[in-house]
Amino acid sequence: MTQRAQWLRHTVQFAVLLAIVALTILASRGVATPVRGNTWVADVAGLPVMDPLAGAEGLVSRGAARSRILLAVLVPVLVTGLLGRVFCSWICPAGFLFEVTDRLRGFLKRKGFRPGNVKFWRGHKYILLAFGLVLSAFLATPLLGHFYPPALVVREIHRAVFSAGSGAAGIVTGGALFLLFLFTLELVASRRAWCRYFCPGGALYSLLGTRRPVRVRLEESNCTKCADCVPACPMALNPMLDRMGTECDNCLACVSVCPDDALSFRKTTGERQKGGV
Amino acid sequence: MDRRDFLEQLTKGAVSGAVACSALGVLAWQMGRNPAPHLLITEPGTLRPPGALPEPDFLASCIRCTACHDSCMSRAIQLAGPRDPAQTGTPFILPTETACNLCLACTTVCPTGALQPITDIKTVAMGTAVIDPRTCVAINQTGVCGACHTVCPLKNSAITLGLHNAPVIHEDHCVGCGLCEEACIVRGTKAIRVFSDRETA
Repeated sequence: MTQRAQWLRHTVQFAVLLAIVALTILASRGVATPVRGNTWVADVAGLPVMDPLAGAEGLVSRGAARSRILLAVLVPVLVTGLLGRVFCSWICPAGFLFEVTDRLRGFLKRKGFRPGNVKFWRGHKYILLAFGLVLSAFLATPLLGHFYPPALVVREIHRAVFSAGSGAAGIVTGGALFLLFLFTLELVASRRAWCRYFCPGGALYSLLGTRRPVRVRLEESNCTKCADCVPACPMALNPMLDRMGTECDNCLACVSVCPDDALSFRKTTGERQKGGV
Repeated sequence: MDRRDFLEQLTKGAVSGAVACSALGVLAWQMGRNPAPHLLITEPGTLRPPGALPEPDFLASCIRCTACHDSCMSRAIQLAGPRDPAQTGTPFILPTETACNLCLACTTVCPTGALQPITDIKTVAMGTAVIDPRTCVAINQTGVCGACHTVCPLKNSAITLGLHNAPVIHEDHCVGCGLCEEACIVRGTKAIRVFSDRETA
């Protein structure tokens, strides 16, 4: 496959970010649109759609309208169950901004700057998810949204749009500082440092997509072991070896760089197979 | 362990520590004036939008999605930032600045039921108005007013006027929209203020 998939993906990511900004501006003008909200919570022609992390938080903090939350997370959960962690690389507005930062990282690298490649334990994000949900349940208030980049990005967009021109526009929020810190981390510490190691939402999507039937697969007879896919993976996986499955966010970077048609995104055949992610 | 390994471990430790500390710092800052032990307290004079569940249930249900804020026709609903008197991201109303006009649009858009749908404005229970007789110009007879009565959507049941237009609140009928507080002509602290009578802890 060529780079076409990557351009398609970037187009989708950019369109999502643009749509969030546009919908927020329309809402600030009082225009009624059939789709309202953002990637955290949206209302699509009356049907609520919610980030599974928002739903999980709402459920564990024992709020009202449990059935409505379950309805709202239904579509995201089904899509993730089928395709895996696609939200992260195709929709997440913070993920898109991280990728933009990653481009800057590559540019600086070509200029002679040596960004780090710090590795952490991937289990951090599952612990953060569990800890956050337990704390949300204990304090009976949703907390993980304060540490979830896409929720912070849409909140800051919302703040920027609605406070434009007023005195509140200048207030620096904790969320904005946290995002700034994460972009710095992406720039100097590691590609997708937050997504790989710490994101509680990514952890939830990973868990939901563990048994997905459609994933990146390796056709071993085609593979020439050129290993071009290894440095291409922004999640630091090895598509030639890994079968961990949970971590891949289906950005298809490996599929796009593979010169031998060995990697593809398709339905599993059932037998346990070496390679793919 | 050689020097290189040691430095690498040190860097990892430092970054892990920085992540943990910044996460805790952000938590502390986001809580702002409402650190964890007082998580459920909003400041007096701050109202929740109409239809809000009792405060603990409200905080458990609200997922900070901004839908109520975006639907608010009178622009009364504000979203709490780090310096505001409610938990970050939650909607609140300061009737001194802009009061709720009881359009009740917010109660229909809430995705989690933190704001319960309401159709009859008489069943709203955001708070109750309280008059300070020392500063109310109609009561202390330093002027002629009646503004609170004029704007009250439930006038003659929630507010009636007595001698010299002195307003009288009837708590059974006052829904706490705060329009009277917004309209009150007294400068600084208004003479009529709405206080939430919802359970706060």
